[in-house]
Amino acid sequence: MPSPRYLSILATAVILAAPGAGARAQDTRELARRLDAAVALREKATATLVAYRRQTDVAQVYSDTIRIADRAMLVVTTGDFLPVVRAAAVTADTFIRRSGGSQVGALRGTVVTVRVDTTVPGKAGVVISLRSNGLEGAQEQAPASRDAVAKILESRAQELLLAHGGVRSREWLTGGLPIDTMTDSDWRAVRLEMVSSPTTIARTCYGGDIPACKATLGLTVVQDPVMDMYDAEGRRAVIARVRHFGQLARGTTDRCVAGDDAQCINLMRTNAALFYALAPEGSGHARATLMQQAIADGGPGAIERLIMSKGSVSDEIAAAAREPLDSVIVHWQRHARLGGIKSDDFSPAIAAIAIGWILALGAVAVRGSRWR
Amino acid sequence: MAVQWKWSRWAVLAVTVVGFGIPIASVKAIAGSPAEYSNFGSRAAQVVAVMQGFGMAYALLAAGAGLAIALLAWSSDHRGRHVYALSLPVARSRYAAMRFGSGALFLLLPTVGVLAGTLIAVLIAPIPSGLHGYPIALTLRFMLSSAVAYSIFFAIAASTPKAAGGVLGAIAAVLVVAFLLSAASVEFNLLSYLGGLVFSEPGLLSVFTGRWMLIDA
Repeated sequence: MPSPRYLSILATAVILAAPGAGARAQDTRELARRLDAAVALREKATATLVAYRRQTDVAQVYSDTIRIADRAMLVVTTGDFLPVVRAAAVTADTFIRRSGGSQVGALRGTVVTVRVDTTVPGKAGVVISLRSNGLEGAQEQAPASRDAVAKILESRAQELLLAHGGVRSREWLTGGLPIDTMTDSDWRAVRLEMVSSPTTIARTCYGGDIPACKATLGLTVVQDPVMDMYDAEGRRAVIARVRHFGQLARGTTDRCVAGDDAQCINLMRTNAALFYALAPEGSGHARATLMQQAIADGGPGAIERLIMSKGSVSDEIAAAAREPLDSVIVHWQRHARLGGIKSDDFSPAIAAIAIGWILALGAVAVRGSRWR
Repeated sequence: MAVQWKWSRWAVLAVTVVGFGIPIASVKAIAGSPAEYSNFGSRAAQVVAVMQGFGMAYALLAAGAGLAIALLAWSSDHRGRHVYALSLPVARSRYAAMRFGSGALFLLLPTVGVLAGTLIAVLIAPIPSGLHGYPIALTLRFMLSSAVAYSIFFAIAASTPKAAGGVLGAIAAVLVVAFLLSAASVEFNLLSYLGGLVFSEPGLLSVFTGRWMLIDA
């Protein structure tokens, strides 16, 4: 039988611990209660926001409507922006009908809203949205100018046409299809991408090899990416770039970087951290320029032909261009090699700005006086 | 002009030598063994990266050249409190214009140095296929940048201490206002806004921003 002293100590300990245990349980319950209250508040705020947006979107009065694309697409706006939107709609209508052709009917039911952008002072900006089920989504901000609004209308229409048509190129492009023609900057960027790539096929593509271009742009499947996309130097460069991240076995990595190509091949075939290097090198931007080249080659109705072609991505590009894919690639290669060969270091604008400031500051210095 | 050359010649010659050396140094940096560009993935990527790194050197040299020549143009007058200059039978405006013109001419020497360096560099550099050398464009940008820097510092040096104090006071006031706006949690970045005005076209220092690439795509 335990001694009375021991029992009293034990009893005292239980009595002292009981409130603590109870307090801890009470803290946990209190915490859970507060958490539940916070979650309920957040859900209430979210519901209120959604209801507010529904209310304001429905209450937004668009007094003016314009139909374009054979009356398939409706553009609604407020009176403030009617002149700008009307002018933009005319421009966009020409583009949409020229490129979409008989497919513009797929835009039937599309409603685009153009209203003031309240974050920009002086009604200098607009918000362009797609209206669906009473809500305005896919909002885009733009200056309140004809060209800016027209570009967005064209871009939206093109995207919707491609989506309706189930075009395979949409996924291949990885980003949207630009509506503008290629600029010197675009070609310079493509050229830099090709010549600075660690893959052999990108540089071979730049040199004029059409199958290499098809592979690097993801139009054909490379059977053995490790051997077909890279040479020994390129494989070593890939390993050397990731070695300091510590994801590769040190011994094998060191031997590869030292020149043992077999080790490099083994690493690239077996290490998941290097699988990114086995994907086709050509970026979304490079692919977009090829598609833009095809559309430029094909002229009016290019998007229409693209949509109506139900083949592979290569077939769609050829259909848009109205010529074989190889011809499109040849044109693309030529622009990539020769397009935009000029430096960003100097331009007439830079010269004019600099000379203007020199003259202004010179005048200030000359007209200044030492007399107070 | 002869007298001003006497004051400025060593600075001009130093800048000229440095201007000649930067392009040569940038080319030497890329003329290595293949193993040295493995970290970049390709020779072309290495060249572009190295040229981007050296681009800052041209901009700093242009600013430094303008500063040095502008301050040297007025240093002797400042020491003599402009007594001699004001005692000459020449209008103040004409005197300042002559100083300004002389200093601007001296900037041609560093420009020639940069031109010579870039031309030689492009000739000896192993430029990969797809990249091109732009020695003339780079030299023109250097010339304009150094002239803008020279104009700025010449105008400040030619002004009265009161005017110079006004400029400094304005800069200090901007910093104070920016601090107060930040402390008041006002969502307006004054420094960023003013920086955009100054460094973006057609701002005063826009010629210093952008790409300074001797070899590019």
